[in-house]
Amino acid sequence: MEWSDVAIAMAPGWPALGALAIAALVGLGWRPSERAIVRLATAVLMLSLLSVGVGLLRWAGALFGPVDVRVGHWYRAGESSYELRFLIDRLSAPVSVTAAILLLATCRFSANYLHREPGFVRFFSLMLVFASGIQLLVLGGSVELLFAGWEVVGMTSVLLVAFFHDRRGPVRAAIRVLVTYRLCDVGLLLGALWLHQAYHSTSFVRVLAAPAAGGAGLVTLGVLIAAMGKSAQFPVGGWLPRAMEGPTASSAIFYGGLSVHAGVYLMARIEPLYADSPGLRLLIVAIGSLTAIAGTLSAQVSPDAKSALAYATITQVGIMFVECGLGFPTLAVVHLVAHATLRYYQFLLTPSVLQSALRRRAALGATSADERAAQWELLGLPLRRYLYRLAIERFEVEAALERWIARPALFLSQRLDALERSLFEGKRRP
Amino acid sequence: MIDGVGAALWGPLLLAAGLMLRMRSVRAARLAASVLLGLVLMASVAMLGVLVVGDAELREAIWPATGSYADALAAAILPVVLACALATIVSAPRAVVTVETSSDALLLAGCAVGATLADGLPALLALSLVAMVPLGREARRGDDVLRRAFRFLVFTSFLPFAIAVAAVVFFSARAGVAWPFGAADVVSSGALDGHTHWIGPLLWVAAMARLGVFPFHVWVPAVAERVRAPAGSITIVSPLGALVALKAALAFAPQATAAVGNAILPLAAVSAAYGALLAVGQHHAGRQLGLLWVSTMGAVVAGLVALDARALSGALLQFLALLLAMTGLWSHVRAVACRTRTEDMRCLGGLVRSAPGLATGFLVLSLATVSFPGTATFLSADLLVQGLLAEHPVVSAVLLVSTALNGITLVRAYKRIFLGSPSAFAATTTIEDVLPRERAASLALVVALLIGGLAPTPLLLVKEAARGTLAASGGGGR
Repeated sequence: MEWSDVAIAMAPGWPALGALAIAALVGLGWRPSERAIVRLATAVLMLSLLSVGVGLLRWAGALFGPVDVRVGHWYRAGESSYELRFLIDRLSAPVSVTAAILLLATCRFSANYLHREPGFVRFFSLMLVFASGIQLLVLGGSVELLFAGWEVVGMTSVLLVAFFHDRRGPVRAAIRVLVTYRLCDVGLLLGALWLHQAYHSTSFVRVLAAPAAGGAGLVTLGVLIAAMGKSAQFPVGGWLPRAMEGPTASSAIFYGGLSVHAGVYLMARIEPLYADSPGLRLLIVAIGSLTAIAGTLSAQVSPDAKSALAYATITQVGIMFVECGLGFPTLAVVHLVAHATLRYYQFLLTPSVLQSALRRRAALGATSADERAAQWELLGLPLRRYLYRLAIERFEVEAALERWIARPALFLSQRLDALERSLFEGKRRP
Repeated sequence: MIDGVGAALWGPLLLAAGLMLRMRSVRAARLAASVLLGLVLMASVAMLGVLVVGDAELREAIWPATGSYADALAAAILPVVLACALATIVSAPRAVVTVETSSDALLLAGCAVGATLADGLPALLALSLVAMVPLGREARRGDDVLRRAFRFLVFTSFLPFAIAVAAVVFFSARAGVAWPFGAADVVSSGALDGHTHWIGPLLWVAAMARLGVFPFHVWVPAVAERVRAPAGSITIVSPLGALVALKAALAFAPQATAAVGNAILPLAAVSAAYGALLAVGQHHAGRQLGLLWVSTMGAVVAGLVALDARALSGALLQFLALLLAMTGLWSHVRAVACRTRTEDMRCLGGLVRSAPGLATGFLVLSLATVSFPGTATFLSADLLVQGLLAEHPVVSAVLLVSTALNGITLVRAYKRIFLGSPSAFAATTTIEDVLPRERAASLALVVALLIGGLAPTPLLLVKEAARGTLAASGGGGR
């Protein structure tokens, strides 16, 4: 193992160590100043960026071919093992660098934005945990490592949506995010296990170079379900606008920048598995297209800037799914990096968006919103009304999921419990 | 029957449990129980260390039959069981601690340690019976439902086990097998040939009922809802059921296990899904934990009967990690209940403001219960599902969905208890945060779960134990 291998492995390791250090010190009763927290976070994120830089040098040294970095095993017992393996290639390298830079920017922005906020330390700890998770997700060379990063990203996302936990709205929104993530993540787990069964390996280098195996379709379906959940695709994307309850900085990094694009990255990563399956490609294109149409219509009728941005993000991510489905994973990743950077910036600007809009209106006398409204006039009134109602009702997806899945599940749970109580306890209880 | 080293561990616990009932000072009893459990815990950790890093000579001196699965299994189980008992007694709210409580904790820990080290079914049976005493005492004081739950446990767990043990003893004695009827001797003598088809299922029923697996689970939520004393949670979160499965069912009736496995696996999957589904809709925190236990034990039993080395080791690791995590969760729920005088989550909310330490502990232990990466349950769930997937893909899928549901349940419970604005029905909106002794217990459990997840090599001793179990039972260790 070379020193550069260790350096690359530390890209997710540094932020994790930073978060652990903060947690341990706070646990021991230390009350850190904001400046100390920011310095620590900046230092570990800089180190993480340096580690990614080492990875880029190795990648360049390999003439931009895939670099498979193996740094040992998490555990090994007989035939079962959990290998610590990282992969730097044309997909992971740009995303990893983007993530590292956006995280550093978030750290700088949040130092002022969350100044004297009661959850200052909590925010920075969670951001470092997220930084570790996203680097693990992007650089992970096996499905297991990717899954570990995926779970960490999901849980930090949930905890940051509920950042303002005094209010009911954020807490409810966080539960909504959690339910979507947890249920969709089952797909990724099943996909990972099927991958293991079909290819006898979970290493991306081995699996993607191997000839197509029988279970590739099942793997893709499982992974697609997980990607839909994390990237807010139709019909499970209703959580994204609700997730805007968190602080602006976390909305920017999670739902503008990185977390929401994790599904796209995953689909681009496994593209060779479904490249020869027209049915699966059509399915991915259909999901992406539907999401893009629903997202763009919903964005038009959103009353607040953050929701409008959230739906605009969903639209672009839907288009990235279409690109993956059409067989352009590299284009999807280029789109991802560009969109993540732009959207991240737009999310950070949302607190002052009204001021900016008024300033623009004062300077130009008209806005793009007015032009867009004029374009809608081209449609007939009945169609316009119909589309407007659909968009304002968010295509009835939320209500349908509530009516056909959530409520029946809770009803069944309570009825079964009542039945068990009446059988065992001999009485009905509320 | 039981070697000297083993008796030196569990003997004092049972002896002290008996003597303690004569004490008058609650404080002295609690202190004595904590110190004794701490000492035995240190001894067991030292023994585990010897097994992991010690040289062969030392291992032979401490573990008379090093290499046999029982030793490796015991080495992994003992520290976990003792840590759980110690954490429970240390963190138990003063309002529920009496001399009897401390005695019960020692008694249950002693029985668990004894059962782990016991070589022979009669000893296991006797210790299982003694371990029911604290719950029986609570049942006598409790309501009708609790008494029914206790009777249910006796009839579904103890009675089948007693009948099976009597049969094994009878047939072994008739075949001339030397006392104490060790599994290897009995199986190789062929004493049970022609009888395992009914002895095996009886042993599995006993194990499943003790673990709380569907349809023998009904005593678990009833006890979890009604018994606030530590005896309730320690009785549920106990290794006895798993030990009955491993040391009785798998060891004495391996062929029967292979035969009834096809019937038990669907039940295990149903248990996982049913417990998870019922837990989602619960308002009572204690009952919810009970149903979560039912769900997670479904996964454990699926791994035990799959006769695959990876699934079995995953199940054992999962079981050990869950003992730690659920002990911690129960301690937190008990702490909240004693401070707010309710376990109804509709009457709680917003407690994070006054008790951030309790909230953090609850969240971390919840994540550790539902296989979050970096915790011991992640590793064990990985092994368990890998072992099950090839032969039983549907069961694997059900287990994964159940784990996802359990995650939703626990984080939702965290939200309902600690986040948001306080409930309109809340009697208390401000409570005392985690006390130093509670923090120490919680931190120890969390650290153990993290070490188990990040550096799992010592726990992987269990994998060798699983391989040994399968080899002994003829399962092969696929």
